[in-house]
Amino acid sequence: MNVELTLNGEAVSWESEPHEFLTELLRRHGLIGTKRGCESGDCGACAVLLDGEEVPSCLVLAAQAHGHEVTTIEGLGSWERPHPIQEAFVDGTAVQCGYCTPGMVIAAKAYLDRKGGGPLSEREARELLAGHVCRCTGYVKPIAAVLRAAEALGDPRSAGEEERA
Amino acid sequence: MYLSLDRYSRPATAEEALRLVAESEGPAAFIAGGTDLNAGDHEAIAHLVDLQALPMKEVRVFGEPAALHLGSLVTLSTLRRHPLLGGELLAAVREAAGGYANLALQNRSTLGGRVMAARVDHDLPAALLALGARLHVARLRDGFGVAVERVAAPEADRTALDGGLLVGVEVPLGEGRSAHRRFGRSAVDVPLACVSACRRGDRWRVVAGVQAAAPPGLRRLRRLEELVAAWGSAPPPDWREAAREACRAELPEHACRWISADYRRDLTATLAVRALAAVLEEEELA
Repeated sequence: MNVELTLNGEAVSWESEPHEFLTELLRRHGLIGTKRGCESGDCGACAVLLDGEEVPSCLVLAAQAHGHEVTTIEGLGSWERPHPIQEAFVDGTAVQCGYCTPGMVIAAKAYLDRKGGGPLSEREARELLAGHVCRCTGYVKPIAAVLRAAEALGDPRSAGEEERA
Repeated sequence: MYLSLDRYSRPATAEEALRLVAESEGPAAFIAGGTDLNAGDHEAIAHLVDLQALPMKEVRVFGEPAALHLGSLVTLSTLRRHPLLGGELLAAVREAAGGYANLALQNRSTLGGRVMAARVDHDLPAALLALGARLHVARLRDGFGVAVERVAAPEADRTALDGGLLVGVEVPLGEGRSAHRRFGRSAVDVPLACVSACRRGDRWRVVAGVQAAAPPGLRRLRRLEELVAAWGSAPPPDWREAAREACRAELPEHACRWISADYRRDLTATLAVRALAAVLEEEELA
């Protein structure tokens, strides 16, 4: 079957099988920032944005994504121009082995986009990261990084989302 | 993965969806959000019928007396955030939806999916039953087309849903207050026990869902409801102890290899007292 979707802003059309999940489809095409984890939606390593909402790609069949807009971690920023959330994670050394980091960044992006500005509470930061398991057990710094990112995105002097798009 | 799917369909109407399942050559099932897809018992499914194109995402108020219609594809995230689900009456729905796993799964998991998973996951079904919700179930008619039946949200017996497609839920509106309390082994487990309570004037409905109970499913705690209703607006000082005992006496025998039956009864009674306290305004709604 053919799966057509808008991936990181570009239209793609890929062959898939009915049993293939979105995680595998993405990784087969080189988008390996989306990680394999628990495969049951519990760990958050495979998070992507589907029509702007955070979803576990391990529980979305590739066929279900047909006709939708998918954003992976590769679509957020680049080596040259990281997204402010990625910068916040780096600046705050909120990365250990890095396996869970793409999912956390995606979760923060979804939450902050939906919130649309304004201060972020620590409780909100904890809630948005609650579905993201870090095997290095590094939870404190990602919370601080998300709070820092929210602050940066609320600051007009930071690199703007519109400019990036 | 663990699926042996060889066919995926995305019908545009309820009739087409029901026919695809009824006429499938191998084992077929509906899929909404798909959050239970990798959770077991799905290895044998050969044909998935994806409901995403069906017009079942609506949230609206209708009728006189007013009722809230929730399409079965409404996600748990929407249940938590939608302005029509604000207020004290529907707090149990918001709390039950917000207790499920994590935000990513709440973005995918649907009302219909949670109701159909009611044998193992009691949160949202318990809240709907406490609110006196009715389910809209579409079935193929002899000949052609579909008929939509309105059935009461089920307790242990869920045969009313067999062979049908849940298209929506209707919740009677009005004055009232509700609360939902749950306990699970972890944030991602289905609850070991949960209790929803709702008060509309003098009428109470209290619903418990206990994992591994026999028979499985939800049960209304009618003696507890009568006891609380008899107190009116002035519960006695020792109401918590009386409610706990009434709840324990009413819960069924059940056994589990992980946790004792006594523990589960105590746990459920504690949750019932907390839910009642929230409705009685002695605890805050979540």
